[in-house]
Amino acid sequence: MRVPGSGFIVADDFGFSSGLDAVTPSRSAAAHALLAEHFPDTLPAAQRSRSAVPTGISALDRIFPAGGFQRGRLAVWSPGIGAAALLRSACLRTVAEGERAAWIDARHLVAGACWRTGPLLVRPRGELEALRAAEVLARSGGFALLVVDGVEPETGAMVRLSRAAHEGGSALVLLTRVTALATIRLSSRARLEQYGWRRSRGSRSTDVTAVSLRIEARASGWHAGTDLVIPVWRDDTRLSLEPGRRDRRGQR
Amino acid sequence: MTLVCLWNPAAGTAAASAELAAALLTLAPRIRADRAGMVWADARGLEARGLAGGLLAVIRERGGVPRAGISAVPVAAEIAAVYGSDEITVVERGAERAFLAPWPLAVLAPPKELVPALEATGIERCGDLAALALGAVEVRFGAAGAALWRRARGEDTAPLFAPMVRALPSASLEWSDYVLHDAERLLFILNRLTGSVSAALRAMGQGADRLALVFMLAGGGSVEHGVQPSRPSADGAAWMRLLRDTLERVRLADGIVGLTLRVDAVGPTECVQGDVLDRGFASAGAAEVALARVLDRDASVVTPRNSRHPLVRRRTEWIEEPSSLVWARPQLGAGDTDPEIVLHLLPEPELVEAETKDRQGFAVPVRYRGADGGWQEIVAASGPDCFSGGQWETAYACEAYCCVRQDGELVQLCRDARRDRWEVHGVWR
Repeated sequence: MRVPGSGFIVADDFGFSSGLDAVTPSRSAAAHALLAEHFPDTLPAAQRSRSAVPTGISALDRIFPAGGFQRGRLAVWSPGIGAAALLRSACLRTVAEGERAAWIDARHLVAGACWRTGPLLVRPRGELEALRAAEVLARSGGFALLVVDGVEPETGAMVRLSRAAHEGGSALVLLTRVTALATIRLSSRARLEQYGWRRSRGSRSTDVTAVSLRIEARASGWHAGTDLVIPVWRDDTRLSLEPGRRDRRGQR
Repeated sequence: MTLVCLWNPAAGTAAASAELAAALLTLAPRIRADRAGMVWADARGLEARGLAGGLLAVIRERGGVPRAGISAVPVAAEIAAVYGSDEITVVERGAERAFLAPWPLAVLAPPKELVPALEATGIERCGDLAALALGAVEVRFGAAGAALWRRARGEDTAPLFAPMVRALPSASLEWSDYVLHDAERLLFILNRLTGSVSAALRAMGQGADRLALVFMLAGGGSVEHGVQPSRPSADGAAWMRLLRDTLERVRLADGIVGLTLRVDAVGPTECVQGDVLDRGFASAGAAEVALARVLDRDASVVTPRNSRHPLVRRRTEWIEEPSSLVWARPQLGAGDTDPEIVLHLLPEPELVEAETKDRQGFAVPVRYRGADGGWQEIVAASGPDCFSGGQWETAYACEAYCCVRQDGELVQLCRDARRDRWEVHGVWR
């Protein structure tokens, strides 16, 4: 029985609800497929389906040949405005789906005030350690999505990373300009004329509220693009009182 | 734990009991001499009645008519030995309270100040006191009364023998015919030692939290190096990775004629209860092992603890997390996964040269030149956000601008008002 609108199939489709019904091979295959779809982690790494890891942004997922970052493959995103934001969102989405994601911050750029709990934040001691950590984590098969930020690997390192991703079944994404061996290459370009602006109160300056981006994905025989608008984080704490002092504003 | 209490009224002094205890150690693994005439033996894992018989025989050889009491509760064993009619009195486990009930309260040696109060209330036997509620006893007789009440109920949990400290595993090998200088051959030996230590740890069900690697030198003496992983582990392969790193770093003054691998501290290997509906559950173990390997050598896993400091750079304290963090299941709500362009801080502020124009009394940057030498034109600069403070620590005063460059990139440009210079603090990505 299929639950209308949910996409889920309840047990009696497989004969589990009735002890008298034999489970036919086709039903068994269907049950196996359903398990693989909803609990890919329960399968051995070698048998895991190569379904993609979606970013959770439908406009972005549409420009991927597989509907997201392919498991077991190496992807490269050229550093540029919006790349880290979209990859961070993809990591959070992966965690929200119950899988595991890690962000390897090779240059220690992540600001704690802007980090949302969810993906594991790995801070290596240097670039070489970042690549080594990426290889170990990718090969483990325990991470659906791995993002490595701030590395410029040589071709030999790309080969190792590509193999590790393939063996472990992780979707490995590098934020780098090196594109060798990447199955998909992404880039983001700012569209300054489409930025969102807001006049600052009590000042003659204008704040940028949202950036508009052109995202392009290139793979062998594939080229697609989309436009996205992403809001800009504002530091609300910047106008707060000194740390430790009680805020009595608005109180009589 | 089963205890054997031996009572010999003919024994003279406490010193004599101590001497006797030394003789009894040939039969029992642990002996304790408390007071004159009384000796305790630990019969855990042994046949208690047989042990008591043997111990009594040793005491009898030295004179006297000793008696023994056997129980899991010290007070019951003591009363059985001192006041029991038989040579060996056994109090079965769970029957301690019933055994104590008929005895007069005096056998428990109540504090002198309590005796009149107990007599006045008509409490004569252990059973009378044990039948009362703890609250009632505590109100009337205080803490000393409550302790006596517990003893009367056979709930005496005072440990007579400290828990046995299990010897931690170690392995060593010495050779006298030759001297080793090369790491490869040492690794071969170390691999064997690690295997036996790892097997011993697994048998204990624990993981080593700290190891010591001791090199015995040809010229005499030894050099010790400590190794500590990110989490307790009994995995020989994980240890070998760490020990290999240690071997690569070690510089010794002489050749090596012996090697010892010793576990200095152990901890429980974590076992986390999982959720079968967690998509990441099946691979969590593999992820944890991989993360532990990364933490041992290359990196740390951190979570931020943010204050409300006005400067983003000083707002965060990074907390290092263990590899078991992979088991955590963060709950993310709707909207938590939406993308947002956020500030990323450069490891150190980058000094730049800036051209400015005046706006409402502030110098607002219109373009800047960084280390690469090229000018970056600024389309819009919002701000300034003026921060100052830290007079008691590291003083700061800066005017921060969110600048949109001509290529669309967003950078945080700050004027350090104390030094009158411009710096790039971060970029929005």
